[in-house]
Amino acid sequence: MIRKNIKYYALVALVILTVGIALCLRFLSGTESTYETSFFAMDTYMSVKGTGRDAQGAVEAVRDAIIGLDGDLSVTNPESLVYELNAQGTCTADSDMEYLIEKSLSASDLTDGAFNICIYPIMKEWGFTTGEFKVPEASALSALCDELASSEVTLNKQDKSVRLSEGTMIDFGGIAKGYATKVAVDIMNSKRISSALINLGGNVYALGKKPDGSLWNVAVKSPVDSIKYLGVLSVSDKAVITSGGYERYFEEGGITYHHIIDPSTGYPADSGAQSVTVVSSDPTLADALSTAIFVMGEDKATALWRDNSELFDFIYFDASANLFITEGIKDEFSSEIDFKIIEK
Amino acid sequence: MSSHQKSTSRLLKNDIVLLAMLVVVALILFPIVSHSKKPGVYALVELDGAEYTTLNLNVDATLTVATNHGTNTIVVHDGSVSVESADCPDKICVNHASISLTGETIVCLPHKLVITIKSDNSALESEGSIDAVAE
Repeated sequence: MIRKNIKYYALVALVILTVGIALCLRFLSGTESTYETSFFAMDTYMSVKGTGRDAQGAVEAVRDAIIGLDGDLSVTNPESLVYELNAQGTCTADSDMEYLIEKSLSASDLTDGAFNICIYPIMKEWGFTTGEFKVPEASALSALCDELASSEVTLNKQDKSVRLSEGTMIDFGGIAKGYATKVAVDIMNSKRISSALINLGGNVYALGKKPDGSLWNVAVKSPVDSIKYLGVLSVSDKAVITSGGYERYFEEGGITYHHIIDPSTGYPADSGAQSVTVVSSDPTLADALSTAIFVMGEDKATALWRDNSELFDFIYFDASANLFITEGIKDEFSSEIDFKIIEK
Repeated sequence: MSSHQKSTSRLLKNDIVLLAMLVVVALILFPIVSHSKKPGVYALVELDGAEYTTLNLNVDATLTVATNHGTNTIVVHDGSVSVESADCPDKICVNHASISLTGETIVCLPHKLVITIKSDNSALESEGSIDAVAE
């Protein structure tokens, strides 16, 4: 009799437990919602999606912050601090500019100048800043390159003053979307959003995992028509940022000129890269490095990675359609085409 | 003999209790399980961030979107979507390969037009499909 009762109670307990779990699931799905918004900023199409208790509040805060940054970091906006700095050669940095200058200078050091925010006058000469493209005179470019080589940006950590050397102008264009991504991630974290996908015009950051608990799948666009994607990365808490000559270019006299300029020559980078993708938990660094590696080429990029493999990984697609990835992402990367793994 | 009869009736009573509880559980679980929608894939066309229209990928169609930004002609053919023609300066949307997989997009920046492949079934969307394209 007692034994039967125990069975009976066990059964009741089991049923109550099941009902309890079902109710919990219902409660959780009721309060955690997903919200997505799309907008245009920084000359590109952006979409931000987050899941959490206040997904809408977080996603809208991200959108407002990025639209604000767009104005603050614009070299053509007379109201912006960058404009003031370029016009007067000096200014007092706010927290955004302080972070960006420190990151830019360390990225320049790391890449031996392949990433350089002082390249702005050369970009302007080519018309990449305005869309009025032209091939500059070789003499004009070599003069600008000489100037660039001696360009200096100094930041005084104490009073936050920034100084540019004579003739120097800067543009955070090569790092702005990466920084906007960092700002977005910080906002998401502060609003306790555990799952989000931030896509700023093809600069992707996967925060946490998908609401169903699986990894985010980020495909890497192929620069050639014969392949759909170079591959797919299954990641969590990583920025995936691609640079390719196909993003912005113009043609003149049958020659294609793309927008990734080599600071050492003043001409579009010709290192043999067709597409470079950087994977890193630091989106600002990833943005700078994707441009820099495109300029540096595979050999120098491999050496850079071997010294800093804890900071980033990369995917490199060269002009002969060879695909390389670094060892750190070999478990996250899959592709329909053959690829070689760069080992340490 | 009498004890055997007693245990049978007890079992019967327990069975009824169990059955009643299962019914309760089923009733509670039903709205959760039945939440998933039917699959159906379509293209979402957005203008300046707002939904403009949707296109069923199973139906071949041509859609001309004319705004004060300019005109784009969108074509649905064999389950994939492309921009056939546009009067934008860069023609990036026209040169873009046709799209058919959930999450893929074609963007015409000058006209603030975005075409995104969507799937009604959120479970289908999250199952091994592509969430974003780095480009």
